[in-house]
Formats: sequence, C-alpha cells, structure tokens
Amino acid sequence: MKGIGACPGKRNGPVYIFEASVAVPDKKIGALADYIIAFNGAFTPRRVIDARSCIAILARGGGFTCHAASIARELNIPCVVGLGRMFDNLVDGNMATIDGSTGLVEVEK
Amino acid sequence: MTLRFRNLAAVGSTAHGSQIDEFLTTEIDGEKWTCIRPTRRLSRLEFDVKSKGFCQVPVVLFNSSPAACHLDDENRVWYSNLPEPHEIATSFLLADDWLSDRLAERRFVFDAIKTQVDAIHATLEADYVKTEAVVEHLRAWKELCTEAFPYMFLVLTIDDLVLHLAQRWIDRQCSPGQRTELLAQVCRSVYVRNAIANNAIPRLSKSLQFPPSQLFRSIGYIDRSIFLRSEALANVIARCEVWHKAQTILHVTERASLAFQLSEENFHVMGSLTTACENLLYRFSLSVAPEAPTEFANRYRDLTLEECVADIQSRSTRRKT
Repeated sequence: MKGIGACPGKRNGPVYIFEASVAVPDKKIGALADYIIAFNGAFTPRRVIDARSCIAILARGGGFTCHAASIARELNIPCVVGLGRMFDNLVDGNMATIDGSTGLVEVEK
Repeated sequence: MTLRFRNLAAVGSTAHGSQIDEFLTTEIDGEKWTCIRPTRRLSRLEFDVKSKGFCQVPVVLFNSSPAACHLDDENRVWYSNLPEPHEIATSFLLADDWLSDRLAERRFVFDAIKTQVDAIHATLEADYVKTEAVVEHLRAWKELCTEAFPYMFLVLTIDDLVLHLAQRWIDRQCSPGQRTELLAQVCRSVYVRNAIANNAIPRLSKSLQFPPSQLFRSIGYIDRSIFLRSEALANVIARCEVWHKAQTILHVTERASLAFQLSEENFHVMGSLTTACENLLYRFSLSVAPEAPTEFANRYRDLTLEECVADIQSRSTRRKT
C-alpha cells in the first residue's frame, strides 16, 4: 500500500497501533523502541515526541507538511502519512516494511 | 518567470492532510461566503479577539477594501471578500518586492508577540497578579492578533499550493523517492528544532482550553538559506540541462521552504500567545473561584474580550471592598 512519504528511510519491524482516543502511559510509549508505530486518528506533534524511540511512523491521516510530520523529519524518523483507508490493513504485531521516501508500506501477513 | 497555476485546484488533498472539499462556500444576496477549515470551531471570545484581524487581510496584504466575517451557530467562521488563494500565491511566488515588504512587516509583528509572551510570563511568575496587568495583557492579545492575522493568512491558504508547484517541477527532474528526500531537506524549521530541544510543542487545537496547557516560549527565526544546504537539491540542479529550468526549480523550492517555515512560525508563535493568555485567565479564575477554576474560566469563552475585562474588573473591585 502507498501513503505520502514524509521522511526518508527504510525500516522493517513489528507494527504497534495507537488509537488516538485511548490514553497510553508514557512508559509504554517509551518501551516501543523496536516498533513501527501506527497512529490511528489524531496524529499530534506531542505524540510523535512521546514515540521518538520507535523505528518508524505510519499514520492514517496527515500530509507532508503537517506539524507532526515535520517533527518526525526533525527527529529523523522515517515516516509515511496519509494512508487513509489502507491503514485498515495494518494489524498489531504483524511485520511491516516502510519506505519513507516513496511512501510504500509492505505488510507481512 | 512563467509559472502556471492551472490544475492546482484539482489537487485532491492538501499537504496538511485536510481535504480541500472541506472548504465550504455559500452565496448570500449575491455575495460569496467561504468557511476555511470548517472543522475548526472558535469560541465567542476567540472570534472577538481575532475577527478584526480576519477583516484586515485584504487591507494589509493588497491595500483593498476590508473583508467581512461572522461566526455561525456552529461556531464556524465565514468570510467574504478575502483574497483568493491564487492571488496570494501569485504574489508570494512572483512579486519579490511585495513579499519582502510583507515579510519585514510580519517580522515586526511577530517580534512584538514574542515580547508580549515574555511579559505575560513575567506577570504569571509573580506571587500576586495585578488585575490591571491581566486587563492590559488581554487587550494586547486582541491588538496583536489583529495585526498578526493578515500575515498569518499570507501562508494559511497557499503553503500547499506552493509545495505542490515545487513538487511538479522537481518531479520532472527526479524520482518520487528523490523528491521526498529533497523536500524533507528543505521543509525544515528552526522553530520545530528548538521546540523539540526545549520540549515546547504547542498543542494542535487552536481553541482556548481550561485548565490551560503548560506555558512555553517559541524560539526561532525564518532561515531563508535552508534550501541552499540541501544536497538533494544541488544534485537535481546539477542534472538540469536548461538553465531556465534550474532557475525555476531553485525559485519554487526556496518559496516552498519559506512557506513551510512561515506556517510553522504561525503555529509556534501564535500557540505560545494563546497558551499565555489561557494561563492568564486561568490564574485569575483560580484567585476568585479556587474551588472550581476550570468551570469559572470556561465562562469566559462565551464572552467578548471587553465583557471579560468588565467581569474581571468588577470581581477585582468586589474582592478589594
């Protein structure tokens, strides 16, 4: 599937889906160092900072210049935003490969 | 330099990720009214603080007659007689003298906002906050929003158009992957870098919130040479066989970088002012209604600024007597 590449870099790892409406303890976010974090819903700059230890970021919404994507770029975290309905193909724990340059996301089933 | 804008309106979504069809339009008595980003709702207080600035957009940017605006029943802001995005984009891209003048004026206003934020912080750091200081800061808030909004509007509706135009020119010279690398290098902001370093990130919602967010200062400036440090851009330019094409790519990339930085400046500087004023109102609410300051402060959202001031002054007088 393809979204908008917002920060270059290729990464492979398990996906962890964050629901915007559910509060997640800071400790849990910090412990996701080897994960690709996928934001479902509001993709706020604050959330990106909280998740800075992750290997890559995916998001259902957002665009190249959204504030959160600009923070991902500053933190040099590969990032693909604007996946839209394709986001529904992501499953917690499944492996994925993302390319932040082309916006391509491959999900291993 | 010839730059074409046709087809830009056909872009499916904005680079911010919001859909262009979210722009609502209607016609009343032959007059066109537009609602920009209708999902954003303003309280009565915020509308009162910002509405004069909304109306000043055509006056300040193009020396033409003021716009009109109103808040509907669903707290959405509607405008008429605002400059069209393509008009602003054309000036932003091609009228260098016009842009230099607007940016110089903008710098003056945004520096004044940073000074005002510092003054509010100093007031809030004191053990006792004088009513006169609260009133003075609140009135300054409205004045600064009035002055700042036209310069905020300068990029509010066009940053996506400018970015899209840059993308189209870059796409002629490189692959989509290389394009992302290039744009990721030029769409950088000193404000974002400093905000991360200082853990001073504005929240996304521009609406007043109580209890307020943590106070923060926005530290940064517009660095117009960022694009020149992009290796990816240098490679693209080196591959251009025609000088005119290289010149155009350099130009649109510089303006895309500038529009991005101005947009981030809007977000960080105006966010710091809103947060400071929220904290001011909340601090006063704490002093007069310590048992329920949040509920008390939320009342102010439904008043105009002068109604807030009158309320603050009358409660302060009662407290003294």
